[in-house]
Amino acid sequence: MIFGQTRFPAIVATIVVAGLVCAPLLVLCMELLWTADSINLGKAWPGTRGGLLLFESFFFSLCVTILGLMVAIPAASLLMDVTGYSGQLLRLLAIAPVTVPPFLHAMAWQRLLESIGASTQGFAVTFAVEAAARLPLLLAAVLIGLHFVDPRARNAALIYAGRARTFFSITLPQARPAIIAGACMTMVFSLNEYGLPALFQRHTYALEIFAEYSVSGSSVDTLLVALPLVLLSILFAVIAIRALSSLPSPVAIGSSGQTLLAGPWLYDLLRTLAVAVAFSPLLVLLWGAVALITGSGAAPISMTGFAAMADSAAIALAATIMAVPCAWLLAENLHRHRLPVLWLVVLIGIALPASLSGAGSIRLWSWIGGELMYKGWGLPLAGMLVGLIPLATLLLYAVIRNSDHLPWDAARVYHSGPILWWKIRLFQIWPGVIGAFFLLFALSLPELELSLLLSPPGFSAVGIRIFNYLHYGAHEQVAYLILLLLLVSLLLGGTIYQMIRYQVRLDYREREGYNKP
Amino acid sequence: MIKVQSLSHGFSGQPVLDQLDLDLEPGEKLVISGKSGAGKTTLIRLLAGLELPDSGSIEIDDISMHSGSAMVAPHQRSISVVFQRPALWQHMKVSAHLEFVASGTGQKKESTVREILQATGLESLKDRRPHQLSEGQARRVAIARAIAAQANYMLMDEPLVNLDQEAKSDLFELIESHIVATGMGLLFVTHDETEAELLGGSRLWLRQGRLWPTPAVGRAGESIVGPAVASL
Repeated sequence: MIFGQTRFPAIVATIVVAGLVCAPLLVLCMELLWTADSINLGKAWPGTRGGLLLFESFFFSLCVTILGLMVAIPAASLLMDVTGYSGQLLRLLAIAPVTVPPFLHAMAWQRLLESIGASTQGFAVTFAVEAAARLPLLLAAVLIGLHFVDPRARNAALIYAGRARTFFSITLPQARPAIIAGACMTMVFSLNEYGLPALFQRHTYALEIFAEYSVSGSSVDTLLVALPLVLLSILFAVIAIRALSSLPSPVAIGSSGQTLLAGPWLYDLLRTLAVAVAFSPLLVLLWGAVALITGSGAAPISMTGFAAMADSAAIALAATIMAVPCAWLLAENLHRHRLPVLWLVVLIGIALPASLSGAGSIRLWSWIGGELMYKGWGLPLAGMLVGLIPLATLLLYAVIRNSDHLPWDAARVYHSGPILWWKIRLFQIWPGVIGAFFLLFALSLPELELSLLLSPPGFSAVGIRIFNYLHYGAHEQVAYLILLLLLVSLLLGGTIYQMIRYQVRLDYREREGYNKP
Repeated sequence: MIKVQSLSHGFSGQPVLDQLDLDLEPGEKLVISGKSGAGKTTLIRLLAGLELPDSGSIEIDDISMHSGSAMVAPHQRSISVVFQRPALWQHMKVSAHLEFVASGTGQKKESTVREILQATGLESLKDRRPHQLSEGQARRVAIARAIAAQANYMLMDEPLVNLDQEAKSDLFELIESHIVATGMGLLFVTHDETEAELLGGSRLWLRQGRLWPTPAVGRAGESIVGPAVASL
């Protein structure tokens, strides 16, 4: 507490935001306590079938993450060595698919596999497509990690060791926090994904939760079934947060100039192959979209297609506009006070499967009696905020934590309150705020899992529309919708990567940006 | 008057300051020297209210600065701080830095800023942003910003570190003419004995978490104090 500062509004606002995120889960927990006598608590134990499914889902996600890292690390190391605008463009293009929804990857790969007469079902296919869908995120994490590596330390090592040894002994350990954070978030996303496996006829534990709620309609049973997955996701989210908390500061910026040096041919060959694989998601996506249009004699998007896009964009925009300030508030509080309860809020929000937060939201608003929520966008919007706020909080926390604390302290010596946020902090973290804004918008625009549960009658989100077409047979009218969504996603993904670059440069300039008269 | 009694603070169980006592009168110039890691920056941050001490008391102008886990906010302490790095706000022009600080003083912002820009020789740089400044110019802006706060006490945490001799001399002149002359209490911490000697005023040595009288050093570098103090 600080004398003379009006902290009451900030405390109340933090409690409200934390309540908004946790309310669906709290409602389910309260219901569980009240009905504990009449329900089967044994459902929390997955049993032989559920246990096997959980293990299979875990193993699947783990393989996806490991394979992704095996490609992303060598690919990123080569991409970082390419200097100038061509290097920037290559990195941007490789990262751009980061916000493309997994079901679009599924669509493109299905088209590709069909065109060469290969099977579109089975573990191997699902695994390859899921890995391709997650690769841009892992690549982004490795590239961000490499951005933080001090080139002076790397160059010092090059005096004593070759390029490959320097990379594995000096560069990679410095990039480790971002890579671990990216890998753990990939695990969380992959564990909770069921749209993509469903398109390839694969059953996952996340789908089991959705099926439980769809069949039984019991939110308490859904909670019990989801519990093992939630705990597993929390574990990886904790590791991700710990890794983000140990991100180094950007102490210097510049290319290492390593391309000038000759290296072991195997090292270069592997890196080149990895780059080729790293670009495959983008190429397949573009090919798939073009093939869909040209192959089916697609008609332009119908009015209903436009309406679905407009409705989804409006909800995504509203959710983003609400979520970013809430996340900023939580991130500031986490940074300054490190309250364990706030970390718990973030963890819950990240680890909660969409089906569970959807079931909780329905329960919550039916208790409150929010009739209006069921008729319009209210329910999908509230459901989206549960997942978006913690994700943006994590991102903004990392940005705030990494910004130079001295200019902030210098401002605190002379002022307090909101003026510090608007006049100082905003300018320290603006690329992070804009990046968070675009990321949330990109994730919520094609949102599928929550929309399936929470969309009101007569409302068709763009994610549902595309998923239904893909699941039950492609329709020509959806081709342009897919192309439009793909282009928007790529544009947003590229912009997010640029914002990350700006943020790193800004942090660097705050620390060492003088001596340029 | 800044009055510090039995101030203790540590990080991760390692004590940095241990039962430290300190008095700083208005208009007094006190130089604290100490090696890297001695706790000089920690002391400045505690006095500024940027950290909450583990124990002990800090009074500024007879007002206690903290009680339990509550403390007086930094901007209400009538102090200004010059940090080890310039810590300028990258998006603001030089004049905007002074305006931002002066707006909290209740004085006429424009006239205060103009006077300080003139006095500190920054008029020609007023429209530049931090990345357009040299290191020495950035330090000058940091000192000007601290002057603009018109506080009763100024805390300086190695403000001249990494500067060449010419830039240091310029900034010493600035400190002498515009801070000491205004009757502000000045607490200047440094690890550089030459800086400490150049600035003059009272001198103390921070070692083992406490303040000690500085061991005087002879011309040839040999200690001319008793073995008890010299051993510190």
